Amino acid sequence: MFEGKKNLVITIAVLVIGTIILSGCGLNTALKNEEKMTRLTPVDGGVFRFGMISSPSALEPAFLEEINGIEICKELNDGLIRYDPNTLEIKPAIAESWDYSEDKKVITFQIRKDVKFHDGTSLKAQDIIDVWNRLAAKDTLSPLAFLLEPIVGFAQVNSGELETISGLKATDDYTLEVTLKEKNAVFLTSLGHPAVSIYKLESANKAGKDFGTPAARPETLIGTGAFKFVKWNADQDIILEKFTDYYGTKAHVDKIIYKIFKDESTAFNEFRAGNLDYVDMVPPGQRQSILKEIPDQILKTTTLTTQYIGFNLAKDPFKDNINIRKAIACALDIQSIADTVLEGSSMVSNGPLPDTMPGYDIDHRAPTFDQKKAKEYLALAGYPDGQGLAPIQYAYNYTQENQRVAEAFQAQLKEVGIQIHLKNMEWGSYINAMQSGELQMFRVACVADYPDPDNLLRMLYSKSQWGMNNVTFYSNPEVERLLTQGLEETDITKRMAIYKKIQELIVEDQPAIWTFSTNYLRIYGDKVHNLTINALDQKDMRSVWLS
Amino acid sequence: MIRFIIWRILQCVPVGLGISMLTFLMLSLVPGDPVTLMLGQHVSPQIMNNVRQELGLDLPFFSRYLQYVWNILHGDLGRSYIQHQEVTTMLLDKIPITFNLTFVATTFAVTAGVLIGVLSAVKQGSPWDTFTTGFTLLGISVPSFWLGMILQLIFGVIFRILPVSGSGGDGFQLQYYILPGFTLGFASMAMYAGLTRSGMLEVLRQDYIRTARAKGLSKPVVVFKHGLKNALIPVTTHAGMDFASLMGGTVLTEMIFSLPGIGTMLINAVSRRDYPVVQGVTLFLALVFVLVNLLVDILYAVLDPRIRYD
Repeated sequence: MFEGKKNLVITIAVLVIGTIILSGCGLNTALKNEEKMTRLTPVDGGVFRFGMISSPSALEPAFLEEINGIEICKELNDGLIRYDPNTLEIKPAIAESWDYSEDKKVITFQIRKDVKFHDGTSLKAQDIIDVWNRLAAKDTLSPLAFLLEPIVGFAQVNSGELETISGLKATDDYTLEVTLKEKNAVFLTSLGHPAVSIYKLESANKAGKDFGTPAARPETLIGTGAFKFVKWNADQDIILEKFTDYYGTKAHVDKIIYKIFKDESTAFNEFRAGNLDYVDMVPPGQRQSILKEIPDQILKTTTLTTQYIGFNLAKDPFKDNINIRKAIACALDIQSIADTVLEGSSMVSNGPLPDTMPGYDIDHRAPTFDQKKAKEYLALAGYPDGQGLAPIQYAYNYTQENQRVAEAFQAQLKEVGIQIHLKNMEWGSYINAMQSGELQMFRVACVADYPDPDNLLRMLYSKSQWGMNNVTFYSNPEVERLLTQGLEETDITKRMAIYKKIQELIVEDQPAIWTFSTNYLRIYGDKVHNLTINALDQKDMRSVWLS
Repeated sequence: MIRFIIWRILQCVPVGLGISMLTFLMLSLVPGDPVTLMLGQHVSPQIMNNVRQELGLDLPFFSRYLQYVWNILHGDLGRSYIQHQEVTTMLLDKIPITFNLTFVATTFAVTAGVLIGVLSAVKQGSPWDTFTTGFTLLGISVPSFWLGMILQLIFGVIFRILPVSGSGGDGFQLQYYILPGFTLGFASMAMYAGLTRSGMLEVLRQDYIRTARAKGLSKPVVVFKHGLKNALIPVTTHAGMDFASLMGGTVLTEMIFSLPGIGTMLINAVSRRDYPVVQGVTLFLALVFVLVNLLVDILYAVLDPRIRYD
């Protein structure tokens, strides 16, 4: 009996010690990429194995609602413009140049003559019109059709009255004229969204309802991007290969395999086993240890995301009582929560726009942690030391992280005499409750569609978005006026001044407490070079090369 | 017997109807709008309504249910709201993966479990018996996600002798199913070991075993031919139901090992209110249970001639 026990103990000890030693060795052999960058020149070839957490729901541009679908579709299809991978500035893509008419309502795009679809046929201006007509059509039921809303005739197509948008005209094979309803400074920027990128309409018609689904085949998913579609094995992987007839800078890697995972730890284990070149997310709870283990293989990105605590301005105690809102803002120490609870995974953002968004206003910041001031505001609100203030309900969609943050809010607010009840909710119910105005105080997170301040400010603070994206039911006539003015102003300096003023007004009104902007960690292998990720969380796969 | 089988098959019809009705009802009662989840918050109420109309979600509950049953009777399980693919196609793609995983898990669980159980019964009271009893307890207590992660780390990351995750693409590639199969079947293996041990202990005390020993038959012949054959009846019948339970319980294992089976499909669909997919998978799993139950009943009669269903 003793012998048996002894052998068992030895076996377990060897296994545990072996595990610890070997797991330590595996990650310390990586070369520093920066060193390698300086002594190596780009080489072509190789397969880039991309670890993606959760599957895209569709590769159909009209339904690109989540980041993974966008990530792949932007490689398959090019738009008229693209964003600079570092600065997010507008750069020519399919359109080599564009001009505005004198009244700024007509944009004339010159289309490149060397753009080819993945089946080898040439792209002409009419192809762009066809694809946009499909996006706008009533039957397509696209949630992203709104991107074309500024064009004359969009409404008639979207309501099913007409089949073609009257504001789109191909004056010749390579000239596209777009007539807008009003002057619109945002429209051009929004054309960088992959939903308005260009694919071959015939392939969509051929695929029918299977367009952009895992049933897609190379002949039914024909795009214009630097990579062409090969195969989609549902919930397993999506394979793209380099398009050798691409008009622009050709990709270095021959193939990209997007391997799909449901669990971050599994993806990281695959990376450790040397089976992935890149992982999109770090496993929860391992952030700090990974930062220590492989500091040279980490890319940090702050995305165009805003997170805030929304106040329902149509409900007590926040309705017509700015002091209670300011009291809560001053009672919360967001920085300490970011440092401790979130382990540095988020940056503090005390304004309506993330700091990576053009037009971000650094001068006008919302009030920050000051318990003395919080108590003063509370007294001004009519609740000295919280007396007479009924417990406030704070709702959030359930994740472990949101739960921990909410508990920290609860503890901090209690210190100034504000009681809050936490309500964690399932995603679907939470969205519905927010939109219908049932909730009192709640967590909101929103990602920008394109890099323009109008996008987030209009979505979240315009009255036209009440009950949709504007779930605080905030409204300020001056903000509305300035939003319209900002949309029509084409001078960039003047525009940014307008958005600065809008942010100032919103901060003054305090319809929310702006908390964090997400700071992602991405892990890449030691053979990966020149990987860039912009603030929209998009990677420029054309520039990546493998050694 | 044939009458019994026909009768049991006919019983599947109301069971299937009941399951479809329950699933449909439960999904309708869950708060949250599938159209909001599908389209996000950007969308105008007009587009929301158009989509709701297109999907038939604007119809009353019973009209939707009748339409659903009518479609099922025509072999149409609908189209996924999220992936826009036929549910039948999705199921046909994923069933082989879950089936392979369950098959490997059951094979491993039964083989190892029975072997451990027999040895433990034969060496009752020995250190081996004590060890296996402890091991059985461990097997039932270890959470599968933890076990899966540890196996991945040891065999996939450190020794790199087995794949960390995935199914290896088309066709059945055993090496991709070893770690997930072990993870999924570990608890069942412990259960089979326990079941076999108690069965064997009972059988080994029977008169016919004593007679076999008295006749001078070798120990392996007595244990495996005369003993195990009779002790296996409860194990065999249990294996059938366990196979069905494992098929429906692969969610965690499939998630950890990135196996694109029906468990992954179900969890994706539930979290995004993809009604047609949830209904399709639930119905499929319910039918598997009903059919396996039927097979087990038939097997009982074959294995134990004393049981008659007429």
